[in-house]
Amino acid sequence: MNKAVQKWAGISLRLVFGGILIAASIDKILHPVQFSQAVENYQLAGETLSRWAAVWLPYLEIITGILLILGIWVKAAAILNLGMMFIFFVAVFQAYVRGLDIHCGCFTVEGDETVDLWKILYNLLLAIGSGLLLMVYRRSGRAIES
Amino acid sequence: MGMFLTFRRIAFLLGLSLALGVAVNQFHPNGIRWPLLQPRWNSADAKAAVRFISADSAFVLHLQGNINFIDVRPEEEYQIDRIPGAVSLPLIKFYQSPQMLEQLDPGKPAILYCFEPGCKEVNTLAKELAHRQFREVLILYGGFSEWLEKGYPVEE
Repeated sequence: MNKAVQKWAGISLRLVFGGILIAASIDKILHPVQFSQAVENYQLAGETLSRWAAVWLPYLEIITGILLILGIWVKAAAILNLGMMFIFFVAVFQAYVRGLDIHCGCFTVEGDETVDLWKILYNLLLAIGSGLLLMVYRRSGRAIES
Repeated sequence: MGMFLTFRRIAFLLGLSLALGVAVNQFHPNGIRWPLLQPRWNSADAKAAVRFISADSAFVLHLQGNINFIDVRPEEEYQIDRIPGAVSLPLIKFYQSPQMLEQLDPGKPAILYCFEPGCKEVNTLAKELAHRQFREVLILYGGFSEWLEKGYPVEE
């Protein structure tokens, strides 16, 4: 890949995913109880584990998002980002396949954001984008542009 | 070397976010309280079965007395009307202060209801009660709406 293309692709992907992670974390941080219900509705983990996920995940999202935007520890942040996006995709996909009629809990903990085919496609794109981000930064922990 | 450094950073970030999450949750006004985060290792034997009950049967139990009615609807709805003697315990309030259960007698059967049949909040709270020494946990199958339809008494 051309160096300049790689540089700008890296910056754009960092900003996009950093922004998505931070935007997704705010409502969860404000409403931990509702978010733990949203996690539990996916029926992937029991009640206790869902609650721990609700306590933990929003902060992992916001810290990873901030690091991506600032360009600090980018490789570590990109791996965490890929891990989260992959888990989100699996969660949404299995919910759809199992026919669970649930609220997504992706960006807001309540509202009309349901799990449908669009949501799966969107999450798949995010997972692929996260993979690209990691590919761009696979060689170094520092931002390429710095 | 680079690989090792990245993994150390990932481990640090996982730990940092967990510590931050637990710390903020502790002081968060809507946080999930500690008793609800503790795993229930020893409660498997103590677990009561959760059963459904019709409005008719619930009314009979109500006439006999000695029962905990638990209203899981939002508090504003509880203020308007409720089953006589019911205690208000929306799920969000339970997460914030699980010790609210102490005002109930676990020896008496508990009947939980929300407005519609089959609401998730009632199921979650019923499971919690079943794990907490409540002898009998019942869910009003048709919800408060069935109770109203049958014309059973309400408290306003």
